[in-house]
Amino acid sequence: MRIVHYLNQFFGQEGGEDTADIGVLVKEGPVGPGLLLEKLFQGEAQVVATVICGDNYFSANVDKALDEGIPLIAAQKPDLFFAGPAFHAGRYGVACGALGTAVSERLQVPAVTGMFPENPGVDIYRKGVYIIPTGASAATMKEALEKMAALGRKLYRREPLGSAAQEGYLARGLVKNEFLDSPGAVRGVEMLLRKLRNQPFETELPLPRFEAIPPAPKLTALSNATLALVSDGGLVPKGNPDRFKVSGNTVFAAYEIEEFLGNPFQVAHSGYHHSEVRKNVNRLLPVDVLQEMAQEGEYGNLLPVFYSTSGNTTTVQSSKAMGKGIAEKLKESGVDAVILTST
Amino acid sequence: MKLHLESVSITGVEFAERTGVADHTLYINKKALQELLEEDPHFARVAVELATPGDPTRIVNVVDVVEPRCKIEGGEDFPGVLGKTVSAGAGITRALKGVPVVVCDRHPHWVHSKSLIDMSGPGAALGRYGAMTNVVIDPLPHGEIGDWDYAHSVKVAGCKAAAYLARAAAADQVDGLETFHLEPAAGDLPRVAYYYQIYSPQHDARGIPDPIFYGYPIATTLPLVVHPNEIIDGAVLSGYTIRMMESYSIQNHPLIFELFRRHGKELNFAGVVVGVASMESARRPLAALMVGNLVRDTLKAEGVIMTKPLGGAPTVDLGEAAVACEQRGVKSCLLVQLFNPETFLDSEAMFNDASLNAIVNTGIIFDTASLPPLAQIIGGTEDTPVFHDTRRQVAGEELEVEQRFICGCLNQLGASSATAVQY
Repeated sequence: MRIVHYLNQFFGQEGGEDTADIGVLVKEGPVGPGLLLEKLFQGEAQVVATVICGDNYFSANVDKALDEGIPLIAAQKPDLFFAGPAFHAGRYGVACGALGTAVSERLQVPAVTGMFPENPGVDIYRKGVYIIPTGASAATMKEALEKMAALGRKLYRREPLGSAAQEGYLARGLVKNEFLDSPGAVRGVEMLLRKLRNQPFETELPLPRFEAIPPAPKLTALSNATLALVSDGGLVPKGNPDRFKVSGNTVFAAYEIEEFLGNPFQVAHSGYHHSEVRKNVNRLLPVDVLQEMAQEGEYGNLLPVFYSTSGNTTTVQSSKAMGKGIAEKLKESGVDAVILTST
Repeated sequence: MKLHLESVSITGVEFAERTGVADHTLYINKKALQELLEEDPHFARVAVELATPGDPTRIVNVVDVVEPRCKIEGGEDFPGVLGKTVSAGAGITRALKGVPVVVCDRHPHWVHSKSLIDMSGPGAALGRYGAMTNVVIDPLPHGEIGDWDYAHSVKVAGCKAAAYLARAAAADQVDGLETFHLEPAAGDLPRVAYYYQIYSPQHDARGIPDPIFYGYPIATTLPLVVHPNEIIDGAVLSGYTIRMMESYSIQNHPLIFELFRRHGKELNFAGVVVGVASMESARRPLAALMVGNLVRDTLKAEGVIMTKPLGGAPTVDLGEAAVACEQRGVKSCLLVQLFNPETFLDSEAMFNDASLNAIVNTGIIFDTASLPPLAQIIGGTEDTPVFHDTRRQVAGEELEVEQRFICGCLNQLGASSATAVQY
């Protein structure tokens, strides 16, 4: 088995923070922690090459570093790719995550890295590369490499992988059904009895932590304000050109209001019964009322474009991303206030 | 209220000259059953088919599964639906075990809520009805008929067939008896109530709710106390589409049966509060406080377990009702489902009150299964559409089906052992 290992300038023994600007280079065989990594495979595999890059160089231009690094990795014909572990180092984590994801996607080679769960690289790359949770410092190097090697071996052998908890990787954002020995009703009665007896029990669904978002300061004057309409009711032109999913949707689109109202439309949302909306779209997108109010001078003007998405079983992550994207567009258009309509 | 639930275990089903049960085999006079069901002028014809485990058969357009039950004494068959509206839950009811009635609705509406049952292959292993012999009732609509009216006829036909088959068994065929009698248990056992949110109007076409409570719609009811015997004895049936709460799973309600099983041993089953999800935010706190008060003051419970129907809004309601109970010193446990598989479990709960620390997750409903094509299709044709969220697929093909549409795979009442796990 041929392994390629990525390290930053420090673990790659090129220097410290002073060499964080060095570009991508390749060394033959294992370097530093790569020696232990190779040993863990007990002759089954060799670290044939180590790719090294300065943390600053990589994070300054991730795409450029990938374009340079991936061909170097590919040239080594790896069966397995390891990056880091990066522990709590943020720039290093980004490099490991980006490379691991690119190796996995572009070269179809299994990739594993390791990071402290709060490393910023985790949230960005957890879906693209397997990330083993590590301690915050290199004092936990041995344990981290052991876990990375074990997972890497399973991936190489194409063994079926279990859940995040079973296999020890950080959750990648996919949830699947498994069938236990006991039906939900029995598990529920037993859980409640334990709760009543003040005995320890484990919930099957952790509670989320809601962030406190301070609201934007209110408008001082409505008379010259630019308003915009945003809806998550799934309004799309007929044919659903932007491919909104009826549930679990992740995209939004801007539609010109006049054009939208003047043409056939449909509702891409399977969480409510849309006959009323199809009868009169103003009942989801209150353009009629807003036009009246504009004529009466109640506010400045309505943005001629509305932002549409389908918000049925949308994840918090997707909602945040879409909200951010829509807000940016609204700001660019000089919008002062938004009316959000849902169902 | 005392209910004697007799059971007749059935190990084989055959069509025959006369309907009856002998040696645990159910014999069905197909023509007689068809004629009975074809009395409804909304049907052009009614096909009756058998689907046995191992058959290369896919049953499509499934809108309910009903256990054959009839009232021997002290009530009516499916009161309010077939029989007069009298109380369920007392007297003697006879059930055939192992031979559910599967009801198909071929009317081209609600594509996204029809279920399927595979009798062999991976689908049979996933859904429990793949391991039973099913008597499939497959009507065809007569002329132009509205979807709602037709759905009602189909529901009644399923109940009629269920009662007809149950009556096939004579008293000497009965081989099991369970008695449901909720006398207060002696001893200092914790009193446990069940809050059963049985309906949500969120999908009601044209605002018309399904008549699920004694054949009557209760989409706007505030919480009320109902005896658990009534619920398992036909007072509550599934809506016109299954949504993981088919009538069979209510007749064999896993939570009610479990609470009865432990009654007098580990707990005192205090009773059931029935409710409906709120569609208006003003109603939600009212429904919640009523659940809290009924559970604590009327049922005098110390603990409450809760289930919900349909989708997200009912989950929010359930959380509010649970918080109301916790605020009154009643400890809660909730059974909830999750939706979108591309997610993290720790952001999926629709509430975050710290008191809601006992949650059973009964599975993620949009997780899919790959089902190979099967040679025979009942209840539809090769071209019957099967829901897929981004493309068109039909029954005769290899299918990618969301597990919520594999009947008997997932269940809101906790009948299934599914749980959603993080990858």
